[in-house]
Amino acid sequence: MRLLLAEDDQNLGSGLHAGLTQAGYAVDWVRDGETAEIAFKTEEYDVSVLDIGLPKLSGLEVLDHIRASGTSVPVLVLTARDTINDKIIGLDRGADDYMVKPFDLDELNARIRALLRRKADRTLPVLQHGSIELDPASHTVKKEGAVVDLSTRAFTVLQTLLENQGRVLSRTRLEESLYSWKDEVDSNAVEVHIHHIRKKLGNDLIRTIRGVGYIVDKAA
Amino acid sequence: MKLSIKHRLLILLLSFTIIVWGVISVNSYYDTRHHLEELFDAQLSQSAHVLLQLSSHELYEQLAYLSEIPEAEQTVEHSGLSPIPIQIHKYEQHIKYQIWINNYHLAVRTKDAPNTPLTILNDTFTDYKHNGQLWRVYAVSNNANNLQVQVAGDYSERDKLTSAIAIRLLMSLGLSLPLLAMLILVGVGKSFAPLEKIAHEMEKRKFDNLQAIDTEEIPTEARPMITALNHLFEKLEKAFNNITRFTADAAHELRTPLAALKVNAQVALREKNDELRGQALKKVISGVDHATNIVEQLLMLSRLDPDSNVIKNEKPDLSLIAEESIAELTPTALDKNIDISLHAMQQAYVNGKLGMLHILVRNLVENAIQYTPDNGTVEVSITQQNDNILLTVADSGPGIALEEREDVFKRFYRGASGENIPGTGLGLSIVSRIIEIHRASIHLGHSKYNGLQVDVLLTPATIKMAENTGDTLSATG
Repeated sequence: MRLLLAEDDQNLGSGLHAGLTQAGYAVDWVRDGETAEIAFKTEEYDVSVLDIGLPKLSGLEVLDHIRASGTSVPVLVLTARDTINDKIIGLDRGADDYMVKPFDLDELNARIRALLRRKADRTLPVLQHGSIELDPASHTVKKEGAVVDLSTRAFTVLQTLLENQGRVLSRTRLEESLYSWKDEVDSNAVEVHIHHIRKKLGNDLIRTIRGVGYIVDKAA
Repeated sequence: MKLSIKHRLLILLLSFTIIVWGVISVNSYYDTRHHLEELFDAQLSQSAHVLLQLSSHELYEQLAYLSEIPEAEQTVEHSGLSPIPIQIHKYEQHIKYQIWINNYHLAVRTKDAPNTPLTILNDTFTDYKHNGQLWRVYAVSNNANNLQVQVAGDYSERDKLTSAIAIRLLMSLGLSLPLLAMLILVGVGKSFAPLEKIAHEMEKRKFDNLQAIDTEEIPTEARPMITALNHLFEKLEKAFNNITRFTADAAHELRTPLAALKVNAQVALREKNDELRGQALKKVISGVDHATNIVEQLLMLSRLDPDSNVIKNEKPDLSLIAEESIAELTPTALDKNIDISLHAMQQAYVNGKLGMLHILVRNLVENAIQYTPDNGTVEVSITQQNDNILLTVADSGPGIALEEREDVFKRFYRGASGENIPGTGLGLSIVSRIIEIHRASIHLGHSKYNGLQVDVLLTPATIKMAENTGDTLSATG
């Protein structure tokens, strides 16, 4: 899951970066509004955490610009102002959710998961495919009720595929969900993770479409 | 004694009315009395002349006969003359009279008149005492001087009338006073109605409603007061907004460091990797330092605010202050290998407060060190410029863009180049407040090291200044 974090405060930004990375997101951290806008335009993110009080271009202005250009990425806004008006303005200008500082990291993660669920158009918190269950909140995968151990990145690949059931995802798309700018991309990484998943959960789950990518078929 | 203007007016108006009315009443009482006396006297003399006319003919005829009758029987009843006086009106004089013939023979007298002459003077009003009663007497004789009429009126009858007039006067005064008091009350009340309306409105106002009072309906006399009040309201509103904004800003600015603290603590709590957990915990500690710094600067700023407008002449030496401040900050500068220097004139005594000027210099130099990259230059100088003392802090940092130069003095403003520099955004606000209190001036410009140059112009502490507590200072922006 690719996440754009826009926060100018050094301490909060690095804390959020660490916290969101812990939760399994590939986090790109930008420190001002202009860079945030460029990032939104050049990369495809699954979700974004945007501080309103950004230098150069405020979070609200970034929202205006990206919504005007048709970007539908779910955005959670961080604000230091807690009046109703501040909240309304943020939501009305295209934010999907907001949190008032100081906030709880667990709650932030839960809200991001809810945003991702809504984006994938599902209501159940647990992703399911046949006998396989993936719970993004507890970061666990179960097969026939038994917990299966998967690495964080393999988990993310599986989650991305399960959220896009019936759609072919290219290797690049899957890579993007795994790595932030800082990470060095291992060219075989996606194949390796797919291999691990197949080993743990069976070969039938993920089909390879040669030359295109991978697909998890819609459950019958 | 505390009295409302209403009561004061009522008491004043009433007592003045009573005094004026009293004087007029006493005056008109005596005036009336005088005229009444003249009237009564005129009546008396008229009666005497009428009596003389009526009686002269008849008396001559009876003169011989009367002279033969014993004197004891000589009364009006026997004389054949009918008695004249009958009281027709309550204020009419009951006239007593004697008719003398040849100055010694009492021909006729009224029953209540004595048988001795009332007066010896003709054509003159005199007083006569009879049985404890005071009479007014008038006598008149005929041309032959053989017939004299003496008439008398009782003073008590006159007094009856004058006291009746006095009572009338007092009564009208007594009756009209309450009426007057009522009218004054109503009138005064009406005049004070606009003020009472304002008082009522003020009473109902909430503490944060500092809207100006509408002066449209205010009487001219009260207008200066209300206008002054409105000015006060204006100032209060400014101060109030300032404080509200300050509190909101402060709360707002503390939210981010608090959020950082919580997030980093939560990250540390769940991190299994020791190194990463250590990093997160270090951020918790630096977050606490940052928040503490903000709180300290906020406190400093709020302490600068009240009652600081008067500068006591401490006559501090700015060169010494700069020396101390730079000594304190040199270790930080050396950490970044910054070339820091001070070029100060000897004994730069300025007009101001030592503690505040210390904060001013420290903040400016600290800023310069923070924004100047490693191996850069910070140069502080203190020189005489015309009559003033000029403090200059120049650095080789990124400088401040022209369009940002006003904003940097605002509370919590962080410059675009300050993203990665720890700071609270309060340093220059504090500087700005100290400048304001010292009626000094500050200018941001471009330094010869291609960075920021801050010029602060302060007034020197001359002997003249010491005598003249800062009044001769020129206010500069």
